[in-house]
Amino acid sequence: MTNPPNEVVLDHVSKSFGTTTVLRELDLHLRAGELVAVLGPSGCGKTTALRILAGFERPTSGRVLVDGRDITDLPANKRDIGMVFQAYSLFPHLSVAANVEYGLRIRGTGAAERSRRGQELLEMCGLGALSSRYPHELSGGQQQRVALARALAVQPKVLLLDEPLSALDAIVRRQIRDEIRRLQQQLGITTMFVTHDQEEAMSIADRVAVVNHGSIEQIAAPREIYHRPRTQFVASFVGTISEIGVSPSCGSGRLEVHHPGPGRDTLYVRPEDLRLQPEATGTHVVVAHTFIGERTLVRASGDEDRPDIVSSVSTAEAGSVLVGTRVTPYLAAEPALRIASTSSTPDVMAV
Amino acid sequence: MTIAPSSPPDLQDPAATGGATSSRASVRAALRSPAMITSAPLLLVITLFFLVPIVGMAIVAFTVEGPDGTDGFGLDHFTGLSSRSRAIVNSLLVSFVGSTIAAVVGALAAFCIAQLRHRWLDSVVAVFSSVLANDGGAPLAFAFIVTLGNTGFVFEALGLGAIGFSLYSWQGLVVMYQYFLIPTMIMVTLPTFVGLRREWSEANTALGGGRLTYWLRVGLPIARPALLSGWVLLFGAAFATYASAAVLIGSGAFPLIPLTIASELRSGASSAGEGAAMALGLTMVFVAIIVLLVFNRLQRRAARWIR
Amino acid sequence: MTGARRWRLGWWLPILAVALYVTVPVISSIAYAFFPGGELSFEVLSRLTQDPDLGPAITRTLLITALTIVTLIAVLVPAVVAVHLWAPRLRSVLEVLCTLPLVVPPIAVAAGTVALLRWGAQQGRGSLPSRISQFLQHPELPLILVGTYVVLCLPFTFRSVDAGLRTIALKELVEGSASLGSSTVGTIWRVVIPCIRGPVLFSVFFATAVCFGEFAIAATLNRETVPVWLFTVSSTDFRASIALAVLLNLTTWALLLIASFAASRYEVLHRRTPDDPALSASTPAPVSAQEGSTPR
Repeated sequence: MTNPPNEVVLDHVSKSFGTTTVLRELDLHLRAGELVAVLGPSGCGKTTALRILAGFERPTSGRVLVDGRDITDLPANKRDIGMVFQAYSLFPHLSVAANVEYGLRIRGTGAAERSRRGQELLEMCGLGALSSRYPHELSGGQQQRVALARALAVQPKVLLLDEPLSALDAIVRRQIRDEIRRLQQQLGITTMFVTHDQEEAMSIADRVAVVNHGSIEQIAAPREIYHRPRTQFVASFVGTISEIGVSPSCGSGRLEVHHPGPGRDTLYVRPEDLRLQPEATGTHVVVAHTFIGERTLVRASGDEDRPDIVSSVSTAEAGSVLVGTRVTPYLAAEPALRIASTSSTPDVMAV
Repeated sequence: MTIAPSSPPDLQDPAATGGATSSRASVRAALRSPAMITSAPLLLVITLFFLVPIVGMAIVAFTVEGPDGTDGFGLDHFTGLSSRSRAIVNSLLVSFVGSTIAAVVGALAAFCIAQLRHRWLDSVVAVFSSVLANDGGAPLAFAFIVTLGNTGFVFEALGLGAIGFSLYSWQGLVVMYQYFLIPTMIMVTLPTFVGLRREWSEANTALGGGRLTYWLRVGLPIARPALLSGWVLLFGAAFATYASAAVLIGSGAFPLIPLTIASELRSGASSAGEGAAMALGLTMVFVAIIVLLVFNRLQRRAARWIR
Repeated sequence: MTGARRWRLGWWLPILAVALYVTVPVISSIAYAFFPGGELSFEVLSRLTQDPDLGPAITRTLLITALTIVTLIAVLVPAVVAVHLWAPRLRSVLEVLCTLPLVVPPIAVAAGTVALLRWGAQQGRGSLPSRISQFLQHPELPLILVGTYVVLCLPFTFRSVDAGLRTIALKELVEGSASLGSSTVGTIWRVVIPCIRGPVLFSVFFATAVCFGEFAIAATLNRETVPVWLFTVSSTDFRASIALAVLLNLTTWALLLIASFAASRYEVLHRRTPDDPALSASTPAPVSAQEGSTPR
């Protein structure tokens, strides 16, 4: 029942609404069968990119290609795209089964085939028992499952998910996230997953595209985004990171931490790359512990001239850096990102 | 017929805490509660000026004079209504035609207003439709007499006499009733059309449907309960209208139920006429309650769909 | 994009048609009353003021209006606040009771009232029911109309006050204020009353509009209020009755407009999402009142 996977390309896509430019020459390439999470703060243009791909918005310039074919001028209802919205997209007057079969009904599929396919998808999404219910009788998580089944029922070329989990509570969110990933891999369907939640993006995607101000800052595998962010924005948007200014000569080892500023290199250091050594003459004082299972995040605060830093230690060893301990930071590995002193001064303090 | 909003159980409400065994005691406690005491004047006004008159009306309607001159229970006043069947038929006809036309026109207007998605238009329409929906008094009839009466401005300008139109007929009533029925329909259905979610139309598009498919399979079916409930409400409103019809038609020429009630009451205290008036009045109350029940049922479904 | 533009024009057409239908009768009446023979003239107005019966009718109507407003606010507001605070279950009972007059035709209420008053009158001269009946129907100040008009106002005004109280977390306010050492009465006076100023204003104007326009009950009981006088005078001086009808109609509209704005204006203060594109934010109380005959 799977289509051969399709490659999707947004080629130099720009979009303006009046005088506001939402997308600037955005290039996005989804390889056949892969799940790309498009991650960014609200208002960065990620949803607009998805809507252009779906055909709900026309790009001001640029092209949209699916499997090599230019579909920029193709109306949305001819694009064969499966779409899952944030919430409340199910037709309220139709039963779950009728919702799932809606696309097939429009395509004129026969009744027997329709209900067979509908049932098959409901089973696949774990909804077999709910087929005669109505949307208002379902929980938020069940509604999103039905929405997913409905989108997949027509065997779309591409699956688009627009913040599909943001209206759900934490536990359900994780369940549905895993389910989406399972189905996507099972069907091998090319998928674009738009979200503002970095943890969600990192845990579900083959690759993550980080978008800011209407263009892509970096697109790479989650691991690489985390460990080798290419820009300051990516570094500080994804995961916990300490932003510190050091003298350009500073390499690994003991760190003389300052605020970023002119004449200094800016380092972006992940907690696990930063070690805190208890020392009576240390520059920082431990102010807080955050327990996250096997590891514990330790926040240390400096004086006026030194920014806060965050380190991660194994929980077993957290006792050596109790709150109030004076510590000296050491760089235990290459920083995730180093911006040499010639670069412009960052004006935001992001930790 | 009405459900309380999802307010949390109130610990200070004795009725809520009292179990089944102490229900009598809790009722007594409830009657002495500050809420009951503070509400008493309102309940008294409703009872004296609304409930008691209606009960009184029912008593008169069901009271018949027996052969021995004493009063007893009987349905004579209701069976006697067959002699006034013209009024009943007229009322039903005018209400049905009037509410149907207004439902179609009002829904169409509400639909168009929702499509335009104009902020100020929405507010202007909301205010004006609620103002006009409350119209229907004597001044309205006078306005129509100078507009569409036999020497009315529009009547003469369009030569309506030539096509046999007369304001003082059921057609005239239907035309005049539109004045408050259409705004009522807009008022009731506009929230539904505005509440149709963009996600529904986009989901339809993504699944391969066009605009027509959307309206036939999604938009109109979702709006249907609201449209039907609006229509029922209009029927009830048209059925109950008295003042403007009284000015336009007066008594006699084209009897309607409310006009008949009024003329029977006016004709003095002859008990036959009064009994018939009360029976008609009770019939109107009955129709009104059915209208309210159907309206509520449909609206509840609409509310469940449009959140 | 001309296609899209033509579509937009298409959407406007039915709206404009309805708007035209609504305005033409008003313009016709104004033309008829104040432009006899094509010339602007307020001569009808002087004819109106010379009528010996109009003055008393206006006084009577204003008196009834004032009493109706006072009674309405005095019985309605405490009751709604009390059930919100202490008895949510009683609230739904009140809701049903206050909604019923919306659907029961005024002429039916009039019929019932007549039945009752006649019954009272038949109980013999000087008896208590007879005296009450006469007192309530007094030709100069028919108190029966005040009571009935209060009932007629209830469906919309109850809704408005109820909705106003629902937008504020009344219970929490009172409890919070009590924890700060304020008495319940003090809290209601300082916190709750300001919050329902909009609905109360709405109720005042709405009640005024009802009292100025009500015809069915006053006519049936044969008590000469302005609308009833209007009907009487139409047989002798039609132009004068049209002039008065226009004035009355415009006054009623103005009152209802003010009522709507009063309700929506204060609603703005309590609006939760300032940029809600939906209609709800700008919908004045009458609309919610109408929907109100529906449970939610």
